Amino acid sequence: MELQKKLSILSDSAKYDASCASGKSGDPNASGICHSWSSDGRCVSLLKILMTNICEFDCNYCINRKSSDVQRAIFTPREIAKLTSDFYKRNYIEGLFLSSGVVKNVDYTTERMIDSIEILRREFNFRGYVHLKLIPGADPFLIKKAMESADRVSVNVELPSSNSLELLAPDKSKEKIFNSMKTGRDVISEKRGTLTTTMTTQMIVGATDDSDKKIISLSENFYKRSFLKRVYYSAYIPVNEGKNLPATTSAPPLLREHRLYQTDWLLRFYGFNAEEIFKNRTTLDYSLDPKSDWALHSLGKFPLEINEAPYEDLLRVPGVGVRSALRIVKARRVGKLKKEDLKKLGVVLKRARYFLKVGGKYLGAVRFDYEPIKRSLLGVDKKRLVQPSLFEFNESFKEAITGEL
Amino acid sequence: MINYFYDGTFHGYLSTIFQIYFQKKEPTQILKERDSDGILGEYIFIETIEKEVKRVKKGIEEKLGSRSFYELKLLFLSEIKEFEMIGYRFLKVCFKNPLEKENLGNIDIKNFKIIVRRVLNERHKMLGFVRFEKVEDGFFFSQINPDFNQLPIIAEEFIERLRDEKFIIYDKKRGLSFFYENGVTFLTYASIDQEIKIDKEECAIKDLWKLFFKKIAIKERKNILLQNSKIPAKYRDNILEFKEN
Repeated sequence: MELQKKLSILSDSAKYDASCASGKSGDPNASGICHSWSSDGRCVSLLKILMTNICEFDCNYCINRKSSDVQRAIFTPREIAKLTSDFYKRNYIEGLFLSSGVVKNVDYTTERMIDSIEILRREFNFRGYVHLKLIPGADPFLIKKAMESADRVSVNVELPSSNSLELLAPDKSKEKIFNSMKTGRDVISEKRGTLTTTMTTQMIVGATDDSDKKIISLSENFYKRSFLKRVYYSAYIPVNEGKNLPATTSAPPLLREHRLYQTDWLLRFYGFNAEEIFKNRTTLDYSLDPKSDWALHSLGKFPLEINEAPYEDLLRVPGVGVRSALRIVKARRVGKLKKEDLKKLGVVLKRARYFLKVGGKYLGAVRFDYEPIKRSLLGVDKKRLVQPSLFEFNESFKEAITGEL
Repeated sequence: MINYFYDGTFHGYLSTIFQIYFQKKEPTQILKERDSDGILGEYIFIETIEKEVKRVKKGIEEKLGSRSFYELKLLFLSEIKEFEMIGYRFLKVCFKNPLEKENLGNIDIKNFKIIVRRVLNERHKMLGFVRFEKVEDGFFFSQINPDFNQLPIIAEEFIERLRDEKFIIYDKKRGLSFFYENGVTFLTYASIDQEIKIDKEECAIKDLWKLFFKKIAIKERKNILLQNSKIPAKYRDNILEFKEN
């Protein structure tokens, strides 16, 4: 099969993997660069392909499932290496994201993927970024080997409960997935200092009735125990018919995915835990961002005096992001802050005003209570609830990218 | 009205700063020599003197840090009208009280920081939008047209990527070129007028990239507004997947 045809088939299939972050090879803290944006508004920074869409597994939600009647193709390791190197030199990409269906068996597939990376690194002298997808159940020795030449590896959790997995992806069991992640975690902890490889995972959102609380609690656990850099959430896109799947006419739950990402940010950057975000609910209130939602349910902690509140408390104010909180602390060293200063410091007063006071004076113009504040917040955010144009060129757009709330 | 005139270079600008502090004459305007037509008031022509340049650099770095000096360079590269006074006012505030340098509440600091941020934002975009193509004599060639003068702050970022190759980045609007070959670099004013002949294999690689780019979009998540805001029309001429052809 001609290279063009292979690329056509194998890039089409890889796009549903949302993991897109790219870093600098060897420096997991450097921020990635977007080389382009596709028509779905997503950043393009990696050559994201499947090595093959041949697959022995029959996961219900996957377009390449064994029982599916799609055209199959497979790259040779050398083709993958040359394509990556050519694109990289022309500055189309920062690196390679390589996933794959299972050809023959899991170990053979993994070895072949490792081959591609080794040709890329050794023969083409490639020093760019490599993200390798690990298939659950691969031999731990191969996982270790993969981590030696990749900057990032991931094993997709896919679904947040073993029941869902059994229902939709019986070839991938919870044990296989977790064991692969444990191997990855052990390699990272063993070689801490010399190995800079990081690990992530992905969950599909909306393919089953697993709750937001379940998803976020699982993420929280991952961050605490498995040295995961990130969890990705991918709104379910119905490509297959199936009695256990949502209808093919259903729209992907983009708003829900967006709220889950915002909640994930609260866990990672704002010091929140799942318990306090959900309390005794299982679903987020999608009409509000999760930080505003939490603040509304925790009015006892507010309003905060902007000139006295410590950094950790400032972080919890809706409309005050990580950067604004830092700027506030820096600016306070020079003098007392006034209301006019806050906007200049990047605080989103539209939301923050209901939770702050300056020099003792409350900034919100309504009665300090749940109902009036919620009404004001919703009135302000009304235009944001129309799917799918979540991203408008103003603060809400910026927040979606930076994650700041 | 006190007008300072300098030669238009970054070192000339630093010499001007030095002289303002030395002569203690508060500037009304700081202009380039070539813009001296029809200006009223006292004229002070600044000669670029390396000793003075070094002293200003040292002074800024010691009092405010090397980051602030870098930001001053970014301000210069912005080429924005009257940036010279904006830079001077920033330095004036900061030399009185170095703690003010991050205080966005102060209008002089804020004006300075806004421009710096714009230059850095464009720089970040440029690092992504630069596209190379292999030309007949083996060079990897790229043409750019940024709003601000980006070549001095982006070209070296590509050395690691193209370590084993030779490359040229050309800023057409400014007639500025950056060359790299075998560890040697130089930045020079050189217009490239002749037709660039691309390498035989290049078309095939470009087609593969355009195909990949088309295929990866998820139809159900279509968002052209977002795509347009991320890649403004002014840059699209040099980004092959967006070029009309």
